Amino acid sequence: MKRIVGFALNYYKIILLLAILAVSSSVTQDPLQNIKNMIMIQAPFVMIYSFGMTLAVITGGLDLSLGSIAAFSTCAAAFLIIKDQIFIGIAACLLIGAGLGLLNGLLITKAKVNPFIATYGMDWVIRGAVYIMMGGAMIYHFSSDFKIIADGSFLGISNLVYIALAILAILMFVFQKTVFGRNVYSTGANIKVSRLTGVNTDLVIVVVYMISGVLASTSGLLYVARLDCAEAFLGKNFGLQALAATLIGGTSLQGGKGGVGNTVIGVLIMVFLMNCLNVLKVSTLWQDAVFGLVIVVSALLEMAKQRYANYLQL
Amino acid sequence: MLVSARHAGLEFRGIRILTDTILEIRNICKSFSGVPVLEDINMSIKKGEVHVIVGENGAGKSTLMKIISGVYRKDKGELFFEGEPVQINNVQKALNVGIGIIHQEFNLLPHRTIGQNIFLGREPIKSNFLKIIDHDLICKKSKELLDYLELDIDPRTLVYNLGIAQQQMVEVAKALCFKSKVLIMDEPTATLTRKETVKLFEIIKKLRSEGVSIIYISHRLEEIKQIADTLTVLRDGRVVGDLSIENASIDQIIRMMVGREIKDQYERQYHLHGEEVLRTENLGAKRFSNVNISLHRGEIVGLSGLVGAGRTEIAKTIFGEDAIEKGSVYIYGKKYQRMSTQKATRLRIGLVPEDRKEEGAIMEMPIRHNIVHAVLPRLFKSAVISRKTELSVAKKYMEELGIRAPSVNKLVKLLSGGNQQKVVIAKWVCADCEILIFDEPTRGIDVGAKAEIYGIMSELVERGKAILMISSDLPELIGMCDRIYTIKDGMVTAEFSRTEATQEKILAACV
Repeated sequence: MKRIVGFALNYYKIILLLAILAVSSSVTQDPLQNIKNMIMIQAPFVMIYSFGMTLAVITGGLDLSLGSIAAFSTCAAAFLIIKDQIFIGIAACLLIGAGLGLLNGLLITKAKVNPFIATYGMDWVIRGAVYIMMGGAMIYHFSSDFKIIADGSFLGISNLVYIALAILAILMFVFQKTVFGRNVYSTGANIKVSRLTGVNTDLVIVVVYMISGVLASTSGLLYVARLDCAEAFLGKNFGLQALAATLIGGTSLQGGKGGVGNTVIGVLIMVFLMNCLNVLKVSTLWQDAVFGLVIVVSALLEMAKQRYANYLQL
Repeated sequence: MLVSARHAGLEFRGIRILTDTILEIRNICKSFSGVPVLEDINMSIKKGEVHVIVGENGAGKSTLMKIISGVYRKDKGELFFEGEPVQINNVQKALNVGIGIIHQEFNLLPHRTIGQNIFLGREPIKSNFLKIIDHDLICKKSKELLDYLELDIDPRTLVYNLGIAQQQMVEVAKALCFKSKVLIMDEPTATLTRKETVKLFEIIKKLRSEGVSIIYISHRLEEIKQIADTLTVLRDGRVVGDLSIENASIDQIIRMMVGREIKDQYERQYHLHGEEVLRTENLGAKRFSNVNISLHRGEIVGLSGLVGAGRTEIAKTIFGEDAIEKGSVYIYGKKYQRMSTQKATRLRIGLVPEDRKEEGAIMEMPIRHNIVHAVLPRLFKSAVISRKTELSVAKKYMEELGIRAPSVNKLVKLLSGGNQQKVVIAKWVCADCEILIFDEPTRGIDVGAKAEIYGIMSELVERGKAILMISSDLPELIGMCDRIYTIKDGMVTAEFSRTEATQEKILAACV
């Protein structure tokens, strides 16, 4: 019994994911096609901006401005891309993402604003700026050279998957294997000790928010390429979705723990759960409630895992 | 004679004869996940005595106290209070029975007043219907308690504004308010200065004369002679012996605590000093001004002073954590008017802070990460961490500093206080620091580990490093240092060489 409970607690995320897959597969016509769709088209977007959130959470903060950064940077870049300045447009988009992340980082480290307040406030400010910039208009009909980024595929696998995996690999390497990554974790675990050990904690935090900004604009760009439309409303719920995926994945808000690897599972659980609720024809009114429940329950399971780790010999 | 007979003890030719037992502990056992922490503990606390419990860290003192005060449950054994068997299942029950505890870390709400803290959770109310808190009564009663403790503060003062010693007194007042008959104090003097300690002892004696029994835990063996009536020594979860204080010597107590001889704790060899590595010139910042001190290779220099005199602030300013406001710091002869912790570590300065849990080591990370933390950028110039190198470096320094742990992957929070401190020191030794600042390096550390830390410090200066040491423990400071500066109210008041320094002279310059 002890071993079964221990196993279940240790691998509850995988078990949860498999359970969701089993339920959705049992009601869909073509389960494999359904899973493929989710992984190819839905998951990569969510994953990329959720990585940004995860990194911010590891430093002990969070980034609620992901969605508006995505909207602002892509809308601004869309003016260039629509004139076939694709590379300059993409570069501008990523630069704007980094710049807005820099602003977040400076607010948090230099002005010492709480990360929640800083990024939540910035979210409104940036979103307001996009509305003003776009004035209710949309930019669409991009050239196919641009759209192929999201629409194209290689060896039957969507480009989106390659891009997400490449980003995952880079982040895993940087955050697990480099001195910078180590400093991010140590800053999150205890900023005071890290500073007193000579780590430039301000720089570490600023760079993480810049990376987070770049990831937000990357996923925004992919959305625009996919939907063939840049609009001011893009990414309205990026921030909270990313936070949910991060938490479900098991990265703790305390900071210094977890990682982008965890978030991959968190995103898959989230994406397949939404898909499952859709195919089960659960009313949208109930979907939010179920979704929230999963967040709370996974937090409880994570707590149980820590509390009984000794007893269950995990 | 009659008056004292009504209280617990009788004065008989100057010797207190203690009459009845208030708390009897019988055959208490406790284990955590299969590891026995307490085995068959028997002890009896008499009415109106100060019963000191000593033992190394991990001997089981705190666990025993937590069982008595209802924080933990015992596995086996019985407790008798005033002759009656009692079941103490939670803290509330213990308080109702009459057992109060003052933990090492205070349980006070900083943004509430003294009165609100004393009456927290049992505020007197004006009417039963509306449950309005009677603030006037809180004030009046708190004032009485504070007067009793000879503390002249308005009970409406926020705890936030109090010094450590005053906060301690608020904790005492809280316990008294419960009419505790047994009061447990866990290392009450760890953060107090000499003067405040004397004050606390007066209060303890006053309580004792009124029949309150005090269970007193301490690492400071010198104090024990002054305050204790009886003494119990714990080692590895067992009672090694009960002593009455008249026929116990400090050496004997130490022998019983560690189960082995500790010879001279402070083994130092004195050589001629090398070149000057650190000097401050009219250094001033938030809490101090005009500080001129110097430090040479091969030398341990002490900073003595009361808590709050500005010693830690001087250290943190030199290390770049606090900003320099006036004057400058010379490191290896080069003048610096601005410092930062990054600059300091690049200049091979290391700080072992006073609060090792919050500032010294990252508790939630393994030993390995903590040891290589400061050396990372130099060890891995390509910015990519090689796990193999990291492991071998961490292992090397773990052995060199005698950190006792099953592996370098163990989380620091799972180590004992002494080993945690050694991890912090290992971090700086690993970074090959030339100048080391030790702020209260042995606070809350058991006797055995203390001697080891002294050994490490001696060896570092033998190797030509320079150490600046802050300590409130005068014997330790005099035993270890080549020179001692005394600090009072943010100013250097005197400088003593090793041969001149005595406790009396230093104290006179500190207060």
